[in-house]
Parts: sequence; structure tokens; C-alpha cells
Amino acid sequence: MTILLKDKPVRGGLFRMTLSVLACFSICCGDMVFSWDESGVTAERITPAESTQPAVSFSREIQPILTKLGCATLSCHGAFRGQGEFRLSLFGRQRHEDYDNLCERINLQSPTDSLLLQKPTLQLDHEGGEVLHVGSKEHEILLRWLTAGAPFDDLGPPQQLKIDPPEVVVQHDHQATFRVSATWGDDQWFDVTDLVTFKVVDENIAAVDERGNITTKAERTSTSVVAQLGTTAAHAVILAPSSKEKPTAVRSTQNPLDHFIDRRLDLLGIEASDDCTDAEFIRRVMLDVCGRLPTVEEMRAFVADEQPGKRRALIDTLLVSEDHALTWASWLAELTGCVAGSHDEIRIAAYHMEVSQEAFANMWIDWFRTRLQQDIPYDEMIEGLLLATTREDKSYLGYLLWLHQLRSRAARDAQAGDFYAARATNDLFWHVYSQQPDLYPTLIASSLVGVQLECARCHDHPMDFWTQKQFQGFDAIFRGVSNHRAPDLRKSEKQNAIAWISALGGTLIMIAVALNFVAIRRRRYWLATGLLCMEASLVAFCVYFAAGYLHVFDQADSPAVMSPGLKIILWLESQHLDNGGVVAGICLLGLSVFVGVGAFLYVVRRRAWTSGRLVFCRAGVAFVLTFAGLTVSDAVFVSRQVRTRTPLLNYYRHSWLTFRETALRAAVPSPTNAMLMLDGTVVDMGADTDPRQAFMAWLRRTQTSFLAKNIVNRVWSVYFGRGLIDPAGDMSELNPATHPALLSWLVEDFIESGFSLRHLHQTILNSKTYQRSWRTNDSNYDLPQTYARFHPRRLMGRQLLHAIVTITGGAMNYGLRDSRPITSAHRMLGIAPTSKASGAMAARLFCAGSDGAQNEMRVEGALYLLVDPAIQAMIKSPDGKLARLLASHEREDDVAAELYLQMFGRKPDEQERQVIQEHLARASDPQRGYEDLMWALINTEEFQFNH
Amino acid sequence: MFYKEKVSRRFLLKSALGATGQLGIAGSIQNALAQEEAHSSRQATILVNLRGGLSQLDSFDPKPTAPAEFRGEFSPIATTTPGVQFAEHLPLLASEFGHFAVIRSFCHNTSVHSLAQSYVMKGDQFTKAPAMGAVVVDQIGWQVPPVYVAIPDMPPNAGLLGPNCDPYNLLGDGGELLKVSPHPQDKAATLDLQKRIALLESLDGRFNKAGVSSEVLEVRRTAYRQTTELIDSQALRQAVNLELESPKSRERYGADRWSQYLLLARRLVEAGSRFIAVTFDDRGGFGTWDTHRDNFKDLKQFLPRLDHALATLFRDLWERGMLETTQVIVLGEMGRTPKVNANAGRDHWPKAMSMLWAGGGVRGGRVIGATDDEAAAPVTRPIGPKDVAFSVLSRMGVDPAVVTMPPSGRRILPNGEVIKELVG
Repeated sequence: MTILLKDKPVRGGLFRMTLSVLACFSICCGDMVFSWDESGVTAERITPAESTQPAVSFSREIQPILTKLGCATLSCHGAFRGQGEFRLSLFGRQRHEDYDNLCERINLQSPTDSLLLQKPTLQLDHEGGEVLHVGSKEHEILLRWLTAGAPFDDLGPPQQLKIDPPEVVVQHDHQATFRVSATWGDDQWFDVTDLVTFKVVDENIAAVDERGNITTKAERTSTSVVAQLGTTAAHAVILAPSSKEKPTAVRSTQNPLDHFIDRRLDLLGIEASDDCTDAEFIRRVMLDVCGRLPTVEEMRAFVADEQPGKRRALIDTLLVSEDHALTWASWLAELTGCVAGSHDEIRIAAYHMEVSQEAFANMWIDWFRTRLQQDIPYDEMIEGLLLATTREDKSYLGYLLWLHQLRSRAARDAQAGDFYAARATNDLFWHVYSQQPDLYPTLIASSLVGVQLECARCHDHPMDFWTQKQFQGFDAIFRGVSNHRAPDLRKSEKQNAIAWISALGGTLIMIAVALNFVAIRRRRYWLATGLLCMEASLVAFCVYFAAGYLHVFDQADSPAVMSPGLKIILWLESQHLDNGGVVAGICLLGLSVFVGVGAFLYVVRRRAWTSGRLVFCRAGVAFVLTFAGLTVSDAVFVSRQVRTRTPLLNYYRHSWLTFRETALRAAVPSPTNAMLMLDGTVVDMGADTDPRQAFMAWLRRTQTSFLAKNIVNRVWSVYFGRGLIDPAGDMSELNPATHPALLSWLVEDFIESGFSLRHLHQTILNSKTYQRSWRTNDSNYDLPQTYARFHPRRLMGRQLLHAIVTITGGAMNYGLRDSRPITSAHRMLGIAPTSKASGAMAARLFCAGSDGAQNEMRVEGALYLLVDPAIQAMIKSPDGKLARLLASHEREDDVAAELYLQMFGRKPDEQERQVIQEHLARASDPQRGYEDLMWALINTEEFQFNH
Repeated sequence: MFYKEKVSRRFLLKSALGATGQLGIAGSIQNALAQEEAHSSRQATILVNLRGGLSQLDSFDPKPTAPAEFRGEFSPIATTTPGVQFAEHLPLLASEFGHFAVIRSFCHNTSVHSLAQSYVMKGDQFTKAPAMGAVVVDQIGWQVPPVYVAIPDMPPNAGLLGPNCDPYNLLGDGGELLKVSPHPQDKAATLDLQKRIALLESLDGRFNKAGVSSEVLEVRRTAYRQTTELIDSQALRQAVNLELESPKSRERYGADRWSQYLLLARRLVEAGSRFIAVTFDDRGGFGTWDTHRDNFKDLKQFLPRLDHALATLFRDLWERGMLETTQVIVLGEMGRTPKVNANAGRDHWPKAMSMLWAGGGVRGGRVIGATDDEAAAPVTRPIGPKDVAFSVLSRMGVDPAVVTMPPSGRRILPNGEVIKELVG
């Protein structure tokens, strides 16, 4: 039954009461409709109009129409507060609410009088203007629905949407049409062309009207269109070819990648640029793959080489070089949250780990670097990152030992990276953001899954399909990850360890002593001896454990001088025993030693060890041990701000817990055991599973849509300056790829190669597309999305700074301990925000984190390059490259030519030579003249861009 | 409206600048622009950022009657307003109280430094929202001296408005004056630089000549063009050259770094900058005010410097008649815990903090809002970051209700309200 209201009724108690009475009444009456107007409530039975046309469905037709008419957009009724007190959900997500809201605006007795029809047709005043025409198809459907009694149904969004054709070529004056069909899961396909909303990505290129008719407004270019019905989308590519005669392209290419790109170019009638020159190629590929400029010698040798496959050979050599692993490890570390510069989280995480920020970043980078060197599959790396636990399968003591070794290495030369890289998992990400666990889901979503969830944190995403519920499901996966600070081995932890051991040991010994005493009084000597042995083994346990710990703290770095106690503990640990096993083992050890001694004493001096005085002494020792332990651990607790006074028994539990948990643990599963994944699937988990495992499994399952696609797209965007899906972190269904077929081929190929990043690099680098010249021709001067020529890219901060170091022959002081040029340039992530080194400032200017910011040259960056004294000093340096060049070259031309070759990979042209000569002639002395020249060249686009 | 006309005039001058493209002429237009800035009487803001979070109890909201573990070591002193007390290490501000108002009920709920900093600077917890200064840049556009200047520096915080709206960090990391190089007085170096730029311009045309252009190339070209404008700007050079300040005034500000920052800020306001964020911090990170230990020992050292710097600025602005057109706000990202901890420190406490507001018609000598007996929470008129940001912007003639951020077109500060008690 439906309750309908004409206009807006006065809402009040009486009104509601009437309604509820009516509701009861309706149960008896069956399908009745009540309407409310000034005169009162009337009720009548409605019979749907006899009609041959199929029934109109609310969720399948009415909601899409409202979306299509623009009613449910953010600026109209889709706004958070609606408009004119009428609110519709975005993308028609809230079907019930939308229906209820609509019902307040319809009049079943006289459908044409409904506000729903009168407002948008401007029969009544409507702020949004006229959006619906009387007699239009939409109007007719709405009217039919109203006439049929405005029935409600909830079919949900279509399961799948198909757009046909998925790629269409439309000449300038020609027409074409899209047909869109949808299925709701019963294998029945409905034509929904009139219902979907078409959105063209670049409206300057093409337009699609509401009936699916395509017109193009530009030439030689392409764009995508998204057809959207509810929260389901499909996309197609519109190609607007050149009206001129197509060039006859002769293409013979081995690389399927080129096939996709070239086919598109042929369809569009664009002529691609030629191959770049060898010198250009080696500069480009070295900067991209190894993060540095080639030396003049490398460049000359490569150009002179006449072997046919030399580019492929160069690529293969570079991809296994150390520079490559380091450069891309740095990229991966940055992608996964190791953000350089002023971010405070890393400083704090490093502080708690008691390592320098440099060492911390090095650990992160090296963990990836060693894996890239061995070409470990990408999905395995990500698994290591996502499922990280701090202790892995080490016992707590083993972890302490490991941590201590790490710290002493880091303290020595900040090179703890290789040591850390031996770990199976990388827990640094979790340490860094443990301060703000709120950031886990958004960071993981954007860097690894490739979607932007930020907005959905507070409300359903206004421009994407992500709902707040999905965000919460995603968030819940990481909620349970607990992070405790790494234990402070130097002070409180040491106290805590000893206190805990003595308190527990002392109490147990006291009990044993008491029992022993009783046993002796009752003349049960064998029992007394047994208890004595137990007591002794406890003492052994305390001594060994304490000695072992102290050893870990003090000199565990050199295993050669380990105490026997520690050796035994570590041996026990190597037997994969957990703490309990280790403790039991030590007790057993103590027991076996002291059983012998005890038995001997029992036989020789029957009563000596049980005399009252000795028992008293032993009890006293135990008492002191216990209370000393309790007191110290109390102090530790207070300083740790555990304010609640715990009863004595809880004490042990408490200290045991803090003891065990001062490290990242696996996530605690949510109470329901059902995790909602991003794509809406619900995964049921066992009781004790880490929810992150379910997430990783989901990532693997949906790899073609997220895991692999994200990384392929991101690597592509590094090489071409834009992603196939652009921006690279936003793989929304509403943001389609420019070359969908190419992207899915690359993804398939990447998965087939076993997630080998090296293979992906090879595929891209060996393509003609990558190796094109940046020079333009008549048909490809614009439009980066066609890849018809190489579009110069700004050098990343670390490439730029390293390039400056290379060509000046100077040294950049980043304030890092590692001062080797290439290594330090690519370890910039470790620069502390407080570092005052001049190079550190530069690094902050050019590498300051966050997506996209890298591509922006800001005023401060330019100012640095133009006037900073550090750069002047590097140019001027008496043992710099310029000084050496001037010393070894006689003719002026040679020096300039050498500079050009090194910096741009070419010789100066005639005009440039003339400018240079004039400049040098005017200069007060040649040295000054060349300094000016080098300075000017550093500041050219050609130097600052990869081309 | 007045402000919009100005923008259009700027636009004309700027188009002229773009059209000529030659440094000599550019300079004179730049001067014209600078003069126009200097003579106009628009609202500017100096924001003093006490990064780390100043203890409210030991500064502007003392609680002399609270138990010893709350009230701390400092005793209160009387101010020019009867019944209002400050902590003893702020005597100069106590005597200048006529120039500024104190808000004691500033509060929010974020106790992580970086998030709280962002929240306070933006008035919005959305981390990609723009900071107040960035919104001002967005409304005015590029100018020399830059609209939004940070002294000594500040991380980029323009969020979705993009890097063009980020603060211009004036000083080098070492705090050395000045990152306007060559040094304002080094005439020879300036001349050299001009020659060099000429050489650069004649060599830097390869892509352009070949008809190669793209968005990244354009961004870089714009940045270089703007930078040469900066280098060439006499107005900026003079503003940052503290030697040009009268000896009396220099003496009054003194040699302390924080005071110098404020002197610099005042000179930049005179030169035409509109939003100057000064950070008082000597230790890097969140060091200075983040007094988890030895709160009183540290504050004894820092409060007199704060006192002197602010009091000098207020008096100076007032004497120059600039206080009407320049608002000064002083705030940190959080307060400190009412109860002193075991290390004689105070920990993070965003639920109550004090801030100062001077200039732009703010009635001085008044206290807005009050906290409970332990300065732990506001009892009247809680004021959040969104209200502060909203008030700052609307008092600068920017209507926060009409500024939107891309790409969604969401309004900045959708629910902010003006703090009415500041005036009237």
C-alpha cells in the first residue's frame, strides 16, 4: 500500500495519527491509496490502467531518468541537503529513501498534477530550470509510471552494462550511435540507451547526446565515453580521425605494445615521429632506468656501436644494474608511503625505532632493492608489505637480539638496509602510520589498489561509486593491526625484563621454599629434594634469562662472544620453540643439573640443606627478589603511564603482555568474521585469521582489476608522463583508460610473466612507442594521449639533482652519511626534515612527496636553480668538471660541444654556437664566461627535461 | 567589490607584463604594481604559528586557584583589563592588552601534531583542503611580492587548489636572511644575474622553436617567468632588506630571531604581501612548544621572547596606523594537558587552548570564551578551527561561502561562522 500526499502537508501529531489509523485500515482493505489534501484524507482503490506496454520499473527506469535529467547531481537534489527540501541520492544508491521522497511529490489521482512532472517542465516555478519537456520520452515514461500507481521495486544496479561498439571511428561530418544494453543477472538484456547517462571525458573532442548519437568536434584525436546506469558503468572509445588523406604507414613491429598504439594512430590518421637518435635514446633510457645521465664515454661508445640489436642489449644491461634496482626501489618505497622531506611521521617512527631517519629510509629502500635485483614477483613483494608483522616468527628474545643488531648497524653507518632486507616482510609502512591508523586504508587504496577513497571516509564519494560503507569495510581490515613502539632496549625495557624475571622467579621460589619446608617437617625427604631441585632450576632460569637479556643489550652485536646462556637460548629458539618452549627448556636444564647435585647432597648430608636457618635465608632471598622486581616494574609501569593499579595477580599477566606485545602484531579479526571487500564481495574468515590475509587473497583474486593494473599503469606513467588511466592513482570506473585493449594486454602479459617487473620494463622500453623522437610533425604536435611522439618529461627531483652533480663534477651535501653521488641522490627519502644541509633543502624543494607534486616546478625550485650559492659553488669548483674541461681543451668550441653532449646528448647548432661565441667574447675572462654558460645550460628546459 | 576591481587592474598590468616579456620593461611594470600594492589599504594577515602547541595554563589562561599539579609553577600578573590575568612571563603583552583580544575557548579534537597543524591552518579536517593563505592566493593570483609568504618556512598546504597557491618560503633552512638572492645589496651580483638570464633566454628555445609544448613545459615556463619577476622586484628586495629599517625601529625589535621575523612580516605587509605565516620554532620538528618535559624550564626561556616579539609588533603596527588593516592572529595547533606529568611537562591537549587576535578592528582588551577550573575544556562559547579560518578569511574580504575547491566544487569551510565577539 502506498501513502501519497498532495503538495506538502502540515506535519503534526494529528496527521501522523491519522496516517497510522489509515495504515491499520489499509491492512483490511488491500491495495488502497490514500491521498491527503486540504479537505482531508481520502482513500480509494486504484486499479492500474490497462495497457499493452510493459510495466515501468522504479529502479530500472525511473531512477536512471532522474539521474539522466540531472536531478540527482551534486548541484541539485543530489546535494547533501538536497534542494527545496527534496533530496535524491547520488547514483540512485538509496532506493527506499528516494522513493519515499518522490512519493511526497506525486499525485496518483491526477498524475499530471504531480510536482514530479510540473516542476521540471516549468509548469511550476523550478530553480533548476526546464529539464523535462512535455511529450518527451522521459516525460512519457514518468507519466506511465505514475498512471500505473507508482509501484516500488528494488532490482539494484544492473549487473553488467554493455556498450556497443566499444570503439567507434566517427569522421567529422558523420554520425554514429551507441547502443547500451544492461542485464540484471537473468541473462536477459534490455536496451537501456535512453536511460544511461553518457559522459564524454574530453568534451572538446566529442559529444554524445541522450540518445547515444555521437558527434565529433575535433580531428586526429580520441576520447572516451562513460555510460553509467546507477552504480554500473561501461566505457567506449571515440576516435575522431583526420579529414586529410591518411599517410600510408609501413609498420613492421615485433612488440604487441606498438601494435595497439600504431593501430590507433592509423585509425586517427596521425603520422608518428621517427625513432629518436642513439644519443637521445641513451640519455632517455639511462635517466629513466638508472636515474642518471650517461657519461660522455658511454654515450660515444653507444653511438659508435654498429650492432643491430644494441638498444635491446643496452636495455638488458641496464635492467640488471645496481643503479636500476636502487632507482626503482626508491620509487617503490615512495609509492608505498616512505615520503621524503617534511613529513613528521617518518621522523617519529625512526625515533621510536631508535635509528636515524636515513637508516630508516634505507631499510625501506633496500628491502625493495634486494628484491628488484632478484626480480622477485611484484605480488610477493606486496604480500610481504601487506602481511608484515614485526616479529615475524621470531621469539621475543630473538626479536630483541635482531633489533639490537639492527640498531648497532644503523648507528655505525646508517647502512642497516641489507640487514633489514633479509627479513621476509617489510613492517615499516605500519610503523610509520601507526600514529595515524586512519591513514592506512586511504594510503593502501591509492598506492596499491589504485583508487581514491578519501572522500568516502566521511560520506559516499560524490564523484565515484565508493560508498562510506565500502570504506568502513576496507578500514576494518586494518583496524585490528596493533602497533606498539619498538622496545627501548637501553633503559626501561632492560629494567622491565629483569624486574619481570626476578618478580616471577622470586615468587615461584618462595612457593617452592615454603612447600619444601613443609615437606621436611613432614619428613618427606624425596619430595623436599624434588622441590629443592625445582627451586634451583628456577634460580637457573632467572640467572640465565637475565644474563641472556643483559647480554643482548650490551654486546649482542658480536655473536662470537655470546655467553653460553644466550647460546643455549638461541639454540632453543632455532628449534622453533616459542617463549614457553624456551622457558621450559631452560627449566629442564636447571633441573637436570640440580637433580644430580640435590640427590648427592641428600645422600651425603641428609639434613644440612633443609636446616631452618638455610630455609629462612632462601626464603629471604626469594622475598627480596620478588619485591625488588615488583618495585622496579612498578616504576616502569608508572613511567609508561599505565595508571591503573592492577591487583598483584594481574601484574604478571600485565607485564607478560607488555613484554610480548611491544611489537606489531597481526591484525585482530573483526568480531563478525565477515569482511566487506572493496568490490562489494563479503569474505568470511576463520576465527583466528588476520583479516589482511583475506584482503591479500582478494587482491590476488581481482588482480586484473586492481593489483596488476595499478602497477602496470603506474610504471607506464613514469615512462610516458601520463598513465593509460590518468591520473595514475585513480582507477575509477568513471575514469576509463585511453587504450583499454593495450592496458588489458599489458596486464595479462605482466601476470603471465609471473608479475615480473623486469619483464614489464623490457616490454615498454623495447617498444617503438617509447623510442620515438620528441620532434613533431604536422599531425602529432599536440595530444600526448596518442603517443605519436615522445613528450618531454620533467626530471624527477632526484634525477635532476644527480644530473647537476654529474655535469658540474661537484658534490651535493644532502646531510646523509652516504656521500656517493648516485646512491645518495636516490636515497633522498632518508633526508631528515630538520637537516640544514644545502642539498637537503634542494631535495625538499624538488622531491617533496605527494603524488603529482613531482611534476610541478614551483617558484622556489626555479629560484633555487637560478640563484642558489650551492650550485654556483659547484660550477666554480676548481676541481669541478668545468675546470677540467677548460684545462684539457684548447679550442673554445670543443668545451661548449662537450658540455652540450654531456648535458643534452647533442652538439650545439649554428645559431647556438654563435650566441655562445658572442657571449664568451664579451665575458671579462673565459672562466667566468664558461661559468655563465654552464649555469645557463643547467637552467634550460632541455637539461631539466627527459626528452 | 573594491577588491575585485583591484584584481582587474592587476590583470591589466600583468597582461602588459606578459606581452612585453622583456626584463627592463617588466621591471617598471613591476614597480607600478608594487606601488599600487603599497598604497592600497587592504586587509592583510600575519599569522603567528606556535607550532607544537603552547600551554594555555602557563600563558594566557592561568588558573591560580587550581591545585598545584594543575596550575604549574608560574604566578599570574594583572593586565590592563581588570580581572584578566596572564602568566608572569608575559608582562609586555599584559600592558599592551589594549591592542588584542584573547580567545580562551579555542578547541578541537585532533591530538596528532601534523593533523592538528593542518586542521588549524585550514579550518578543515579534510587533509586536501587548502590553508587560509592558499585561499587568498587563489583569489588574488600571482603577484610580487608573493601573496602568501611563510617565515621561515612551512610545508606546502594548498591542497586541492594546487601548488601555485602554496606558501612562498622566504628564508633558507638555516634561517639566514634571505632567500632572495643575490643579496639585496649586492649590485654586481644582481647585474651578473641579469646578464645570465639574458644568455639563458637566448639558449633556451629548443623545444619552443620546434613547436613542442605541453602542460609540464608550460608549468615550468610559468615558474621561471615568475621567478625572474621575483628576482627583479625592487619592492621585494627592499622589503626583505632589514638594513633599510630605521635604527630606532631595529633596536626596538631587537636581535632575537622571532622579533626579526615579525619585523620582516610587517615590511612584507607594507610591500603588498597579504598573508604571512610566521612560525616561532627554534628546534625543528615540533620542538619549541611541545613541552612534554621541563615545561616550565623551557617556557621561562621562550615566553619572554614571545612576549617581546608580539608586544613590539602590536605597538609598532598601532603606531604606524597599520593595525586597522592588518590582523594578527597567534595560535598553536593544540593546548597542553592541565595536569603536569611526571617529567614536569605537559602533554597534548587539543580540547582547550588560547589564541590571540589583534588588528583589523578587533576590540582589544577583551577575553572571549572561558575554560573550566583546570583550563581543560571551554565552559562558554567553544570556538573551532573552522570558525577561526572563516573569520580570518571573511575579514580579509574573501567570502568563504563562494570559494570552492576542485574537482568536486565543494565549498571551503561549509559550516564556518564568523566570531562576532571580536568586534562591536
